[in-house]
Amino acid sequence: MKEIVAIIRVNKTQATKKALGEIGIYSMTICRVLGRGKQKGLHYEITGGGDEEAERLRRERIVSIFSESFDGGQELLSARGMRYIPKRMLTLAVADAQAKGVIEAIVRANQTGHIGDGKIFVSSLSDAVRVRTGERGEIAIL
Amino acid sequence: MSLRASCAISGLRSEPMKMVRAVVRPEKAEAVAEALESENFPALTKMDVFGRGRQRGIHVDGVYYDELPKTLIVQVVRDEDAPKIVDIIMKSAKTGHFGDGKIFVSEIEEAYTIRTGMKGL
Repeated sequence: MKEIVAIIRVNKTQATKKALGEIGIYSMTICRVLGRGKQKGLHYEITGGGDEEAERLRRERIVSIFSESFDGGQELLSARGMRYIPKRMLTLAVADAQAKGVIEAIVRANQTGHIGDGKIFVSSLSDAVRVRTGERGEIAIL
Repeated sequence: MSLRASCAISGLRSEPMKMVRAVVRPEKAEAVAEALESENFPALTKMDVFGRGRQRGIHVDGVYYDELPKTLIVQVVRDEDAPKIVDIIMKSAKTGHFGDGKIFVSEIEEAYTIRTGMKGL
């Protein structure tokens, strides 16, 4: 069994769920997380020598996009930019044979080619239990 | 799906990686993130969680807080960087008191970057 953890954009959650539903995967856990990649978040620092009006408009656009999309958004906005970006973290437990299809579906639904599309991590699950029945192993996640 | 993406997923071996999950005090989360960034590990995911250790929470003025707010910081790094990450987090999150948190390290078999569709961090 594999555990697949995918960090994706907030506005791609529905499309991802639909894509996974089309291959028969309905079970997942979704968390609201904050994250950043190599770019260290969003930067809208006013550089001084450039076009200040354009910088100001860019900053306002970023602020308005993000401050409504989650609780406490305002705290994350600093003078220089946004250090963490809201994302959704999907966790799925799948049979080994399903892992490849799940990864392809997530990439297909989320790939835009722009920074911030997200990442997928795959690890082995040593066991899984269905609490209702006590079943263990692959039968618990089917 | 793109040819490039399907080639990347077709099962080439990738380098081994570790997922480092650190449960730390919320007020230390920024210090931990800054310490990691200054050592060139800026990429991370964080979430607000609640938890308790063996002390079963804290008892203050007659009120029993059995779940305490913490911040969970998740990073996936190459195997050889994992000990360094653990060290950085340990140093920046430690106060010496109960509630400092724990760090868990587990194996990641594969990682994909969605933007490119390719395997790897």
